[in-house]
Amino acid sequence: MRAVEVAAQPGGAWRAWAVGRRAHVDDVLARAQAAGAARADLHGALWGIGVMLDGVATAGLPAGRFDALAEEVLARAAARVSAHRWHPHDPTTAVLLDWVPRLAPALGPEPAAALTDLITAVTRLRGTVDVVRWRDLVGVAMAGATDPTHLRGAVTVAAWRCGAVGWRAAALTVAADLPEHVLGGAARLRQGGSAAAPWEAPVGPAADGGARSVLARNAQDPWWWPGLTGPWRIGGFRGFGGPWVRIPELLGGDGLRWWVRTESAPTDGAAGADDIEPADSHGDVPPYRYWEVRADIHGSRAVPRPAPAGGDRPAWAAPSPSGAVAVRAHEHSYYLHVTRR
Amino acid sequence: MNESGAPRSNRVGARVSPPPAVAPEGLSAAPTLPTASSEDRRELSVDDLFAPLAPESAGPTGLDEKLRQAYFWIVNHAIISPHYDIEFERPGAAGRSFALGDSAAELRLPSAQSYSSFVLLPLLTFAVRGRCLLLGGPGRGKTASAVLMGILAGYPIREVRRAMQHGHPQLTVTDMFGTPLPKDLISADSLGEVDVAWRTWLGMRVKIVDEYNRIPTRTQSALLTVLADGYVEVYDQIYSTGSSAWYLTANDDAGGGTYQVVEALKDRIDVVAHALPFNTRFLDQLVDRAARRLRPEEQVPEGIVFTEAEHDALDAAIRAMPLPADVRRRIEFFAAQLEFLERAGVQFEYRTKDTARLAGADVHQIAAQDTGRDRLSDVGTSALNGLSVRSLQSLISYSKAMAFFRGRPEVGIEDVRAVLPFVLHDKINPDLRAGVFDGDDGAPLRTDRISWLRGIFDDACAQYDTLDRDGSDSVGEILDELHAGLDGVDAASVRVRLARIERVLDSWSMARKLYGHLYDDALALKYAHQRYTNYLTWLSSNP
Repeated sequence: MRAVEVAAQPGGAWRAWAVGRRAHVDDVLARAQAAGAARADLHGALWGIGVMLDGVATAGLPAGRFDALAEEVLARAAARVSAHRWHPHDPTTAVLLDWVPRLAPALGPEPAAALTDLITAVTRLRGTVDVVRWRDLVGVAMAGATDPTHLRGAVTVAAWRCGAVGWRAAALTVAADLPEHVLGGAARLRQGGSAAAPWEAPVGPAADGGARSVLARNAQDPWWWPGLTGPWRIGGFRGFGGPWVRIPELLGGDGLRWWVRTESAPTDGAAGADDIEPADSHGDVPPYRYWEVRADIHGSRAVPRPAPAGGDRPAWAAPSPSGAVAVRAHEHSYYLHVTRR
Repeated sequence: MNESGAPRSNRVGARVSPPPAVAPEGLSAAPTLPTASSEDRRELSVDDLFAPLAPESAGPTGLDEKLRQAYFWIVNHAIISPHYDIEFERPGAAGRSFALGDSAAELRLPSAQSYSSFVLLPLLTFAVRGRCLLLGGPGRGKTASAVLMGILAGYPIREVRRAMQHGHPQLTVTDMFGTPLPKDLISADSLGEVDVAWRTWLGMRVKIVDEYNRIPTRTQSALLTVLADGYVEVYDQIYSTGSSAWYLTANDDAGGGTYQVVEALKDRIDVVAHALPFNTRFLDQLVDRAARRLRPEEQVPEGIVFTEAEHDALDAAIRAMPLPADVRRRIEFFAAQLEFLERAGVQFEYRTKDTARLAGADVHQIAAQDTGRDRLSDVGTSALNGLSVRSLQSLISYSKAMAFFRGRPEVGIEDVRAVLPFVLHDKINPDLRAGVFDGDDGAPLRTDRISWLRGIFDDACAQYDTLDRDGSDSVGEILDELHAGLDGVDAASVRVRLARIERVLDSWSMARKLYGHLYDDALALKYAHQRYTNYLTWLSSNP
């Protein structure tokens, strides 16, 4: 594959860039092919990034920044193709094709570090958040930004907003450093938003505290969010995307975390979706599996834990935790049911 | 929360992972041994979200992963061996077993990743550069397996085939290793001046000797030197072969072949792998290969070929694998049971099977003179000999290789248990007249040496647990105290330690029968006593 083939693509900034740097592009492509990239795969990848970069240029990215971005995108795409990992489910592919068009100006004049951040975060959280909404929220938050100063903060808040409950504390912390418009975009809190569309929760003007006051209240009550009143469900049957193959039994909690046990099942362990650390390493199958469930208004995550020493629950799990919501398990349900008190 | 009011994890498909990328040539990019990510319990920060990920290359191109990739490529594409006779269980989640047929033959479904010995043992031999004997009837894939190992070492298929030594009754030392140059034979004034044209296979990292039991005895002796010491001598010229993986094949190990195999040569073999029979349910794969004229050895993917540097690194990584003290103690406990023969001598040190064997006596007859010993539970009574140092070295080396292959951080007792029967296959001879081989349960063990060896190791481990040797080991404490050094230890302390040794021996003389592990412990105490005695003498002469 050679740069001249890029020139065969419909005209645009990408074509002009590639033809103008023919020797360099040829060199990148030759190295990719030497590293195992198939010609057809390279062709497909270049077509995809070409369409994306043309769109970015049309949207008005300055020429200097376009050059730096094209250079970085080409190198990363070629590397992924060489590793046989260029496909829609690959985090790098998704970032280059879907995130970059929304964030190109915010990546700054030297986009390498920001791209690495995005790829790292998307790789780390894949499968635990709604990636499409996450991407859109970050795009909205960073609209108008010309440098990546607030990119990490926006990515973190948006990830939490889209279900990454593990990053709740990080998001609430970093939110304090974000400008109101970035925070409002990342948390999807729009002034004058429609109450009928909870996803676009309405908040008052910044003078009334705005998005910041919503987050402050949520920090006190993890199940409060404008427009959302519950009830909610946590967990679920593994066959339908939840963590469990046995009905959960709630043993305690602390308001943000809940301690749950399920009967052991033959599919736990090697064949199970979650690799569970054994409670007993001497050959006896333990009767129960224990789980720490972390949940708030935006998402939940159940993590298998070893059986607690000396009892059924760890010290932090109170049998009847206080708080704004009541969490219950039912004999007939794979969910934990959350209602406001 | 999303529009439906359900948290994200409740959504169908929310946990769907991307399909693993599959590279061409049949190697999956997915890890062969996925492990759970260890979740940190502290609160996560923004920096955690953007902290560099473990490089993808750390898994797929790690040497243990590469070794597993090689294993799975061989079992999936080259050697049709759908057997999982090296079984592993997941701790706390034992697999199910089923009793089939009148004999209630037990079929176990292991809960952890298990392996085919016929493929795995040659691969571990490649990794540790050991010596592997492949046994089995003609056409079972012994030679093909050995050839694949040569290709894994990076040699072209043609070179591997040319380098393979085929045993036959007329094979001479010079045929095998090298010929003196005729010119030198005429003109040289001394043997040292005779140049030898060495055979190229001697320098290869993988050496294959096909049908080694058809090689004449004299040539076997020369082969022994190469196997054991890594050099060969012809006409006063020495060629150093370096360390390499050896594969020897034989159709019959029970005295068949054209020549009896030299006992010392057998002893140099680290591990024995049996070619398991072909499972007829997999005939379709043979049909497909024939239809496509497919020769797996010509299709080995580049991704599983080990360069010389990688091979060296593999060997070094396996040697560095830790062998924890509790695992080592169980090996010691097992090995101690085998050598002891109470009635073979008078002096304590000579009460061993080796003493009886060197005297040409019948070990079984001498063992039968023992009374009061439980012959079924005493591991040593079913074996005619003990373990040599070389056998123990092989056992440790292959246990480490197994742990490395399984991606374990250190050797576990299950790794030792997995390789032990194959390492000791030709090293421990069963006493077929022993009671353990009688009855419906014992009779099959006469022919199934693997199960017998694994059984006696399990018995030894059970005894070890019953005696709580992990919890109370006074001999171990005494030896640890000694090995901590004698610098600064005064005469009074030495006398206390000597008294402790004598107290332990006193307690044994009053209460216990003498078993193999006690025999070794008693000799170790004598050693400690002697060291302290000498030290005390030295202290007395240098006040």
